[in-house]
Amino acid sequence: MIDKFRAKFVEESTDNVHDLEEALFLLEKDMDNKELIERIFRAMHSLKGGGAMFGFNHLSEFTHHLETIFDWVRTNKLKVTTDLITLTFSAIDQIKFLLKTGDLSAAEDLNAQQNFIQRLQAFLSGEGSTGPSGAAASQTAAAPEESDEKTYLISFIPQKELLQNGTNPLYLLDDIHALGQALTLAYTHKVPSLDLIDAEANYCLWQILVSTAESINEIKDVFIFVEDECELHIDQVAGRNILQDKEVLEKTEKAVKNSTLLTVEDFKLENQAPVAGPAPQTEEKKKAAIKEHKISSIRVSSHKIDELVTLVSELVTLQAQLSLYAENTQDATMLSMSENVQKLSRQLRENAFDISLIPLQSELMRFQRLVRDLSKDQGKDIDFVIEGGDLELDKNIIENLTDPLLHILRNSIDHGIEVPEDRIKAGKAPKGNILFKAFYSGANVIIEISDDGKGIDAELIRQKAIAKGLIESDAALTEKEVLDLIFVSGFSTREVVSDVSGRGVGMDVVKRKLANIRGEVSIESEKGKGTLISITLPMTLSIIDGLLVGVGENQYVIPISAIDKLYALQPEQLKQSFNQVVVIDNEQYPYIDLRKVFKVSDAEDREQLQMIMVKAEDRLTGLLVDAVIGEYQTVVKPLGRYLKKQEILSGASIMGDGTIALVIDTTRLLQKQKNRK
Amino acid sequence: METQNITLLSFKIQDDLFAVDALQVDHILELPPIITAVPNTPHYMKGIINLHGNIIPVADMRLIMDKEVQDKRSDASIIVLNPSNIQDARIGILVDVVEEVIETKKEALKETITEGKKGLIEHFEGTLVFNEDFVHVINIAHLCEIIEK
Repeated sequence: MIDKFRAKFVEESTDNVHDLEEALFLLEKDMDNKELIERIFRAMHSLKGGGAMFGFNHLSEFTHHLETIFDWVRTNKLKVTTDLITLTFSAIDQIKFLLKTGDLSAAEDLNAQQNFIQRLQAFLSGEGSTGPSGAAASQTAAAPEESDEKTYLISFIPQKELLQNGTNPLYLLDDIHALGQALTLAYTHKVPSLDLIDAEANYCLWQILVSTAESINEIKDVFIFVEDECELHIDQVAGRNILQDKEVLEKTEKAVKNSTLLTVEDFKLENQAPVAGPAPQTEEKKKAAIKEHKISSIRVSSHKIDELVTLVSELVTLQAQLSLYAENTQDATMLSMSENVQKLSRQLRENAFDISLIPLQSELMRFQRLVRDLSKDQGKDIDFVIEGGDLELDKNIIENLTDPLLHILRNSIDHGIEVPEDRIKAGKAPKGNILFKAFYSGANVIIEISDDGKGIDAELIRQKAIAKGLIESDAALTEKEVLDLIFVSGFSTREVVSDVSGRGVGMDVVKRKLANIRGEVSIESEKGKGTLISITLPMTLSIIDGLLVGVGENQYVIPISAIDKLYALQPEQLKQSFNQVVVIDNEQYPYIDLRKVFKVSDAEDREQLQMIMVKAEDRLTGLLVDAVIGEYQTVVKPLGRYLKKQEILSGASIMGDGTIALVIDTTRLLQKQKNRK
Repeated sequence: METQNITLLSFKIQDDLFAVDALQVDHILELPPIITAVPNTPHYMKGIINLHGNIIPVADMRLIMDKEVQDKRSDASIIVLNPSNIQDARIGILVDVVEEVIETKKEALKETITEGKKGLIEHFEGTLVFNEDFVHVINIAHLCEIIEK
């Protein structure tokens, strides 16, 4: 049970961290922005509080130190500097690490954590001593206002469901008591008689009079985790401690007795000039804005969405059967009904698939971080521009896309963009540019990463490729073919393995990883001018255009994207061939008999054969099948854990009549066949 | 000691009665006309079926229990299991006849006495005497492990 909450906390915290990073980026550009500082502080505070609550103690402790720094910033004791931002960025990395691993146990991790905390503390003491005058001044300015105790009336009216999230309201009350002298009034008049009571519901509400020197925000923070589950009013009712006043005590007694809640008006006599009128109002407004924002989107587990998509797919399947039936009956009413169902289910399907897409934006933060950190490390000045970040892609595609994109970006920074001096020498602006652009093109999404760096020297690549034995020294290759060599495995342009891109992962891995999500990558480059890498991706993984073929009793789907040509063959043509080679149009092609691959007995004679030429690694290979049935757009479903050893089948697809066709992964099939030889 | 109630679903394979935890049973289906065979899988894997738009693999319990395969199986059913502690692990098992739901106490289970290995299953959760028959209780997690291998 607690694991579920922990998972939820991690998920929410990831959002918080994300928000934190975003705010930090903005802060870097606008260092005096109070609102941003407040936003950062709040995110840290939530991390700290939640961490402690869900057993992430190290996270909580660590964030506490970080929060202290931003508390100083918030109260003008500390100025925002680039150093501070850099430190915070690396602290965010530590937070991410802590979120992932939970509490640390390895000694080295603990050490690192301690060192980091010391760094944070050193930062505080260092800054504190360099600029004490300004800090002290602002502190004293703020001090008199805060040292006076004020009395607040807190009305805490939780919803019935409060307890279901594991919140114990008594702890909240304890927290309030910790702020200063407090008087809690519990109203129990809403508790029903015993036979009507729901043991898991909360029926109580509370009013607390608290006298404290802390600000109203401190009180609000106590309720930060329950603010959506309760009605909360916090009002200042007096500018001093009134808890000892007889009059007040009488009033509270009366209120509890009559079950009538105290209002601010009850304290009107004591109340002097209205307190900070406009400030809370803007606060309210801000809160309202945040609330509105929350309602505009909801968090749904991806599992539920998968389920929805499944159900919709099933509906579409059923609908296909229905229209078939309606056509057979030729009943006018039936036909029009089935048509309507078809319209609706198509819309529903489009909607459901739309929901399962997530914006690219969610991953872009990591790219910005990478560019920022690397360019700082290497003394390069880079303007990183993102276009089309709101573009949406299938969740599975995005998950598999991040690593290749990070690698490409690393390459751009490491090998592409020059240091400012070199850029000036080359007659370019000292600041380099990297443009990340994503856009739709037909049923595909194209992502382009271009830089105006030094480009790729085709001649250099050629020499390297010859030296490594990848090509013959007299091979006549076009420039494009030469550039494509960097996607060949065993190729890396730098002799010295750099800290950045040369981690033993080359562009060949990028290409392979992208191929896994049916993506293609190409490169264009002009020496001295820059490089453009473009990636073409399908919009979703779950639907493919496929060719339905028959082999033995089963039906199989071959992705259209892999197919080059189809040929109808006579059985005689095959018999003439030897060594698994078929001659078509005076060309020899290797072929694979799918009957052999799928172990179908050769008993019945095949009258007509179909050869499907598929392309892989720039080579055509034929797949021999019994029959070509037609072209279909199908939803690919995974085969599940029990059949995961099935290498050459990437999934299964449910056809209109409810039967199942298996989807062939041609790349794997060809690879496997090659390895066998 | 506290008594723990258990609910079992019993089924027949050849002449023996077996049972699984009924709470982890998702569906009971009639044998569909087509089970799509998946090539290059272990011999006990019958293939996959379409259950409400989901692909469910089906394993033949006769083969898992090392019994002979019968051609005519008019009463044969597929029990779709949804193991509670393994994710995405729904699986159908093909049995001869689905018998009944048995409500009993955990204590009623006696240790299963087997001579050597019984098919691919290495151990049972226990054996229950019910209506003068022995019902051997199969541990679903263990069964899934075997099929996954």
